[in-house]
Amino acid sequence: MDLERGISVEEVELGTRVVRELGLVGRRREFRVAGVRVAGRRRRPSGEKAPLPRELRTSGRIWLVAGLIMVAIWLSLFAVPATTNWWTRVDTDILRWFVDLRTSASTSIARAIHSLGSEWFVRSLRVGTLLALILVRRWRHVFAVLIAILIVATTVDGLQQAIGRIRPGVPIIGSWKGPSHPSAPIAALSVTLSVMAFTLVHEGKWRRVFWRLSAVALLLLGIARLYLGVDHPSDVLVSLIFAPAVAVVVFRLFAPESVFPVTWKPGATAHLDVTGARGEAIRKAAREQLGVEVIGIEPYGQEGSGGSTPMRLEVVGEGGEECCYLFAKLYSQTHLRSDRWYKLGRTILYGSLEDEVKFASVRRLVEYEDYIQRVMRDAGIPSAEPLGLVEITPEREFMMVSAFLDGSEELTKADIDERIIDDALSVIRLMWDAGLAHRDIKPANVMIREGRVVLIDVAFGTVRPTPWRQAVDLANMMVILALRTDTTMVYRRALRQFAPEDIAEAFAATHSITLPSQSRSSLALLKKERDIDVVKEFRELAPPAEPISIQRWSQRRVRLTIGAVLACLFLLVFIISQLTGGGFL
Amino acid sequence: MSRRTALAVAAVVLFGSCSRLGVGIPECERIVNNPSPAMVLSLQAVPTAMYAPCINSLQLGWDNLDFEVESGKASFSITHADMMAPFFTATLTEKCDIGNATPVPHPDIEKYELIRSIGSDIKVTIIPSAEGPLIHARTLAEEFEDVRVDGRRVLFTVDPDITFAVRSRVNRALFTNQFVWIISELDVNEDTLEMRSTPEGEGARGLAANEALQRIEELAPEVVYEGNWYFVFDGGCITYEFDAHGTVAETVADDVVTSLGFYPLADLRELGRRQGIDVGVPGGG
Repeated sequence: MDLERGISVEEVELGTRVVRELGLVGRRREFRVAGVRVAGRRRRPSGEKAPLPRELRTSGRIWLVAGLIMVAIWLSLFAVPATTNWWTRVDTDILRWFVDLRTSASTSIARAIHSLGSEWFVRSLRVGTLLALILVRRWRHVFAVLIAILIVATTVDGLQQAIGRIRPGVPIIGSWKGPSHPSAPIAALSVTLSVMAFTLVHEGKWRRVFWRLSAVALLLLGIARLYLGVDHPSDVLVSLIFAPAVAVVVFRLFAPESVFPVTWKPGATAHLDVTGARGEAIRKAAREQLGVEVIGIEPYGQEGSGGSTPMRLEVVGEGGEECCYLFAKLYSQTHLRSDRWYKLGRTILYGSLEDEVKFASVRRLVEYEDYIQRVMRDAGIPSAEPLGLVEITPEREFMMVSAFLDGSEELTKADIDERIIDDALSVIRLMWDAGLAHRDIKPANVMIREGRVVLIDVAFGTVRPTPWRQAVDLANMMVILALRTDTTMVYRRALRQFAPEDIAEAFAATHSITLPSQSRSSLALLKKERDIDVVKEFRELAPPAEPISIQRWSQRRVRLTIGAVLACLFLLVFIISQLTGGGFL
Repeated sequence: MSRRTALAVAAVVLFGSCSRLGVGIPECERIVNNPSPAMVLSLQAVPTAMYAPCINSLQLGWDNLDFEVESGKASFSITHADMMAPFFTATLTEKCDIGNATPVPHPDIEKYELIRSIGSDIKVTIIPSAEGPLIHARTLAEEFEDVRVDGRRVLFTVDPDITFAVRSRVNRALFTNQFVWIISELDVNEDTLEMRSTPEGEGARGLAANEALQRIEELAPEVVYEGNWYFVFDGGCITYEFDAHGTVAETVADDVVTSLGFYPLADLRELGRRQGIDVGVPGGG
């Protein structure tokens, strides 16, 4: 045992062997590492598609063409006056054809169908959809629905006022409101049915059925409005294209199906779907870029992870049979955005205590995590062995692969004795000595494997952190150790590796927001069930120390805070003022 | 050119070209062969109407708010920088309920009014209790003849009917005027008065006349012009809805007459007919 670095001789040897073996790739086409068969890797030649290329699918192409048609209609209708008369003539000719078809029976039918575009009908669909989504706490979908509807309502209203098109020049026998272009009721129903399709109906057969039924309903409403003479054909056409296109774009940007699928399980966390095309891409990418044959992909520990999509890969062993697992995390644009919001929130909450500069791309994000993982390993911090990065979609989606800690269990679920406590605290000592901080020490990230402590999820780690952050790492580790033992024992063992002043500093820096939420809820439970306040007890055991302020004020924080408050207020006012216009209230 | 720049340029071109169009406001000026969309939409909303409300020119400080139109109704509102809500709305409908409105002479169209108005003049009735106070009251009325409170004229009326009980005279005076000054023998000796602004409750006693004027400045009700004017004609009705307060209310009635007009929709209907556009039948026939 290499006590100084906290890892065993066997582990050092294994790590060296992995590096040596992987280094030989290119010269040897097949070899084995830690029981995993590496069957030779392949460089993707120039021009060959990536495992999961980012390309417009058929639906994307259709929407693109439709969008271009819509812009062309707008430009020719209103920016080129010479074509206006032509459009109006064509529109009027079509409408006159409908006028010639009018009979009392068909008028009654058209008026009945016309109610599909009424405010009460659209409103009831929207309220029902939102209530269903709120019930299952699909907040991302709730916001996407609101955004799509508000964009359509605001744009249609703005265009109607800006364009000011008069109603058709045929006898009008139906009710209408506002200028004619684009058709507001068609847009309202289109966007409503579109967001319903994205949020209420599972992708696949049923969604296709829903789209078809929606198309029929919209077509009937459009025909009814033309029959009644309230809209021009071009008003209907533009709304039929524009409103669903907005819904498609909003959902692709804010709530992509692959990350936020339709699920009726309340509070399900958002993760990339690793089946289907992405699953195949993962297999192909792992085979070509790592040289390992993946035969199974299984979501793993997703409930505790919001910043990536963790999974367990089953791979082929030495004998060509299934043998063992690798751990992998998938990062995409969605995770990059989450990281940015997280950093923004942290800056507003307590200022830039540490580096809060956002990552510019998914590549930078995964490169950093890979780097910090390797720095941790080099410093002898027991953590999962990194096996490399895999590109799934260039610049947009990467997968980090590391050894799977088979047979490990969370610290809070294991039997904890003095040896484990010493081991856990020695990990913190090692990080202190190496100038590192983990920054997310919580029960789910401290594993026990074969009687030894191993840290996982080092993505938040940093080199040369603030002393405050290192102190918080110590406090967080002592807290989770005390959850299963007692504070006096943990404090006594900590004194073997830390000075009393170090421990006093750690708990002087501890505030509710420095404790990860998992630790916070465990502490709250302990307090409730056994009336034990772990943090208070540690503070009483340690020498007295003045609380360390974690608030850092800067011009940037003030600006961000004011901006965030104003943005929230603006959004609130905007939503309230638009809810009526959007047909909610 | 990046994708974002291209999109921005396209948006500017598109919306720039659109902004040259727009619904516009229902102007009274008649442009041959090119009527404002707002006026055409008004006609489409009430195809039977002979007239639609229109704007000649807005007064200083007035602003035209949204023009709203739907089948059966077209309206526009006017706001003022001093007031949060619109102080005036003109609405064209096919029919309107004039309720208890009283007919008012108008050269062209049947006009009805139902208005609650508080003018800018402040009216004070001086009620002397006996002969001596009556002389004092007349002197006071002459002394303050040209006085102004907050820029508003104060009109004094002396009630000479000293044979009746003061209480009934006060109640009668407050029914029409806003303030009452009561002068007793004691008040004459001490050069004071009692002021009341409501029939119930105690008045403020022992006030000097200047103090009473200061009280009036605090208590004087705001100038108000609220209610409706109705213009009824073949196939339609135009309602002017007033909700004006303060300085706007002082002149709103005259200003509206100057600033607004009636657009004869027959011209527009004829123009539409020439262009092959069906825009209804006049008078609902």
